[in-house]
Amino acid sequence: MKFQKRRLSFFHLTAVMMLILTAFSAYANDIVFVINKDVKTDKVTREELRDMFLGNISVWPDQQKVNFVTLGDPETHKTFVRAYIRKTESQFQAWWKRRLFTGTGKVPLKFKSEQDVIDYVARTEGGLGYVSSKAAIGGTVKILTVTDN
Amino acid sequence: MALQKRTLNFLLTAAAIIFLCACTAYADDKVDIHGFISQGYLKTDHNNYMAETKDGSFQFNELGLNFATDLSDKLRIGLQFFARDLGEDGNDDLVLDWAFADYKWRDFLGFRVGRIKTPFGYYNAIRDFDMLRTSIFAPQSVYPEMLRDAFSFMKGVSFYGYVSMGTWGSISYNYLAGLPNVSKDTGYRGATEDFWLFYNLQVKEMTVDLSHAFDCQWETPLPGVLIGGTFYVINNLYAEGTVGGDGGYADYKKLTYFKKFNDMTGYALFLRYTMGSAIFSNEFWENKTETIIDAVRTYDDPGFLKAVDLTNQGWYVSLSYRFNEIFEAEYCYSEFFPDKTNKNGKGFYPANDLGEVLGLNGVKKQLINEFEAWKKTSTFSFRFDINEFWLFKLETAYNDGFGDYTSADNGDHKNLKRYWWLYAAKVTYNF
Repeated sequence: MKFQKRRLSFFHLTAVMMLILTAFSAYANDIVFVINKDVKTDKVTREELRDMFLGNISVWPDQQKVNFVTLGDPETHKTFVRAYIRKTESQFQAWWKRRLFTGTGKVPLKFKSEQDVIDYVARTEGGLGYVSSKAAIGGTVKILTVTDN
Repeated sequence: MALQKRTLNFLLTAAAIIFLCACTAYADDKVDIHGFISQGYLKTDHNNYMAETKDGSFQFNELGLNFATDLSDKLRIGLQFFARDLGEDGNDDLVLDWAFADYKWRDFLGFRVGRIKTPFGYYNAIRDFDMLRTSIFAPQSVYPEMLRDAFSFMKGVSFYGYVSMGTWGSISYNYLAGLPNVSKDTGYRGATEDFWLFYNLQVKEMTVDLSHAFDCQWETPLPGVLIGGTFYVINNLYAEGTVGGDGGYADYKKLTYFKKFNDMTGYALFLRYTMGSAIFSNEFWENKTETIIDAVRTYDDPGFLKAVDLTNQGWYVSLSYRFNEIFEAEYCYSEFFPDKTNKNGKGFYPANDLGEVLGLNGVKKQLINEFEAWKKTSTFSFRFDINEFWLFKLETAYNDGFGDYTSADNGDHKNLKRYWWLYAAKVTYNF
């Protein structure tokens, strides 16, 4: 009986974890990352991507400067910061304002529309941005694959 | 009259900055321009704290404007003008808060040269920027006003970098060597005079030698857990000035002039745990000051040399939570002890050779009030982000004790009260 109770608790916990992870993945999959076609990379890890958007990694493996931009659309942006940066929107803002007002960085550019993000990435060396999975991406940029490891 | 002069200073500074901002914006759109302006109000029920707060004070404002540009992918230059007023400190005089060239050779190694914000604990580099925390004041137990100016920046060089360690998380570091912001025109002067109130010290000169700070932060593999620490050495912090003239201790000893030489070493350790919209934070700080005092009598009498070691100790724990896009609240409990060997105000001088000469062995340490040996504070802060640019804060702090150094006028301290409230409100605009 005691064993059953423990097993029940374990299965419950596992089920809840699976549900959370599934929900989290679905959440994360709503975002597509786009990069400039000249960047000689197609794949980065989740940690590397996070470091790029936090300014900790400033160059691509081919030594081009990472020129990333954020999206003004609140829903997509919130999904992005929670799923990939592991911060809330206000924490992400504070991170960059901390750098701005201590002179150690500049606030990333923010575009109102997904098309503006795509256009910027297409014309900017080392460009990196994100859009929702519903966006019409076209052939001016390429898609960056984000892996767990 | 003094108040009018300050208001005029503030308005002139604001006008100059807005004009400069407008000119530069037209001149080149590659220059990033950002800034902030804030105005606060302070009120205490007893004791003046930082300003003449018993009557309520609006002498509590900050203004900053920065310009920065990338000269290349690796080289960035910038500067920030800053003015503040907090009671007797700042007086809205415009200063360069930071101004440096930043060359990032690789992500793991970069160099900065110029006037650089001093890394110390979690809040020091950002304590002037209201929009970067929930509370109005950074916890005073670890970031006392006494050291605000001295710790605001150093003129020198720094090495910094970021290293990812895979499954072990990542480390960022920053080493800074330079001259701290210490002179008789900075807030450190008022705090020093307050500390040596017993001698009625009037500072005439203050200097400092080459100093160092090393800061390291480890983002651990545990999600949301950040651990950090700073170690610093401030060398030969020198002050001299007149003493006595008030019929007090210095007159009794026939002392007229006073020189002190400080070497200051300290460290701060912090841990922050971020879980969604909640942030738990705690920090511990110790600051040891080794002081040699040379108090001079008249007619070239050598007076006496006295050595004093004093260790300040402070810590806090805080919990903040953002309820929605507009509202955030924080509770913070902190304790500060100006002398960690005398936490209850009943301490005695330890027996040693110097004490034998000066007759201090076994003598009770002299405090005007025992409760000046500690300050224990509970603070409730409420932040309202009206929009991306405007924010408004309210804060109330209940204090037990007055163990703090403040340039606010509290007379001879005999009328200080042990239990007192501080109320603060502040509005900030940033862009």
